[in-house]
Amino acid sequence: MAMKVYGNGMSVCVARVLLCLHEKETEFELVPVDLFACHHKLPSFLSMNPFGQVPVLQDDDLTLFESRAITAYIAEKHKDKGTDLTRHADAKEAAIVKLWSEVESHHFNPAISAVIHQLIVVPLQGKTPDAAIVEENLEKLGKVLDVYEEKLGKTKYLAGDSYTLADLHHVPYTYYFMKTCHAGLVNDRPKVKAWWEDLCSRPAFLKVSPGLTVAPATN
Amino acid sequence: MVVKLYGLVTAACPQRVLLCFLEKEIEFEIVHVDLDTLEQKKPEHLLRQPFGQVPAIEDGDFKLFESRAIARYYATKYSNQGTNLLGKSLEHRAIVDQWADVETHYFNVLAFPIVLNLVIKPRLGEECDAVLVEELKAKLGVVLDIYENRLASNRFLAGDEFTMADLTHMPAMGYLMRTDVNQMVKARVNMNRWWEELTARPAWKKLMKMAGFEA
Repeated sequence: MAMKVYGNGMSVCVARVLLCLHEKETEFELVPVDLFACHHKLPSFLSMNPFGQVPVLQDDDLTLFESRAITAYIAEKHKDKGTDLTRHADAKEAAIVKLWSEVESHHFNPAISAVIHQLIVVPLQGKTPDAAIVEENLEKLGKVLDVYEEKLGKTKYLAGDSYTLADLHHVPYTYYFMKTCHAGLVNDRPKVKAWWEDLCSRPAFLKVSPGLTVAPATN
Repeated sequence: MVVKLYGLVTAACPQRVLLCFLEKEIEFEIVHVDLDTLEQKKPEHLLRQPFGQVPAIEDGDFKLFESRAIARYYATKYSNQGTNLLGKSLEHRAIVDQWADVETHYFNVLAFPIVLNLVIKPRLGEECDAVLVEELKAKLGVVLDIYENRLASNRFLAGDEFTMADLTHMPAMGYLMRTDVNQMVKARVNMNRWWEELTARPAWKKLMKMAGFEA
């Protein structure tokens, strides 16, 4: 039976999982969850993810939430096909992949998600973005991208010379960020820009990006 | 040759790695990084950790940072000795990863600023943001209710056995329990039971002794 992913293609965290499934050439079924009708807060959904968020993966008896735990599971289960997303054959290389995945979780994600929340989600709720929050987090994001600029001067991808989960996890939020008026943060850093353009050229990206349909409010 | 940990035994993120070393019975050496003089922001340390934080490790030629990546590497490298921290099957490992990620994205995002305001700022003579702390505690209560429910039917977060999912919470929990947040844990029967089991572990007791926190 094909894996089921509960969620919608426009969700950043769902897209993270979809990218992984395509990179691993794994069949799946996408089961939409109506977030506007708050179906993710119904008991039937909370029994799968008590935090009431998408995505959730179902693979036979296993129910899994947290998008990065899901990508790690898919990458390990299907390690012998598709893109090698974890460098599983070498413990030290695998640790470097994990290191840059942790950097995405702890340094990149908090800053970029705060910006996207203000510029895309808040207007959808009929409110005005908080400029101070945007400013503060753009500054933090800039410092993270400075570290990336230096790293990508030494290796083609974050964890070395091949594409891994460490790069993949960045894609959905960066895609939305590049639609805002702050894309210069990426475009003004030549190595980061080249890395981003490479990530966007991948076949898996071209399959998933059409689903990333939310747009920032124009101002 | 013994792995070198750059950091200090009283800081939460180095403690995560030290707990892993102690659970896995791995020998190590701590190379002190003086946070009070901002040694972690100086050029020599930035070469090890470009974000200017602790810990970082050097194991011969191999270098790594990010405490959760370091702990994962050693738990994998020494999978045949000490406590099994990573789970026994692909599916179990996924559940361990899931609850370890919950620590990052739901627990730590609240615990860290609470500890910063209630423990670290007073030590540095800075003012605590009391309004922020109350907001964070309200959000933490919602998260702890989910943990309470999980621990009602599971001895540990990923099932019957202690794993990385539990270990990764311990440093921040240790600091939270030194503040009035301990009332929030004690008021929840299963969380209280879980924390008492975690802190009864020999590795935790050794760590607390090393940190000078326990008699």
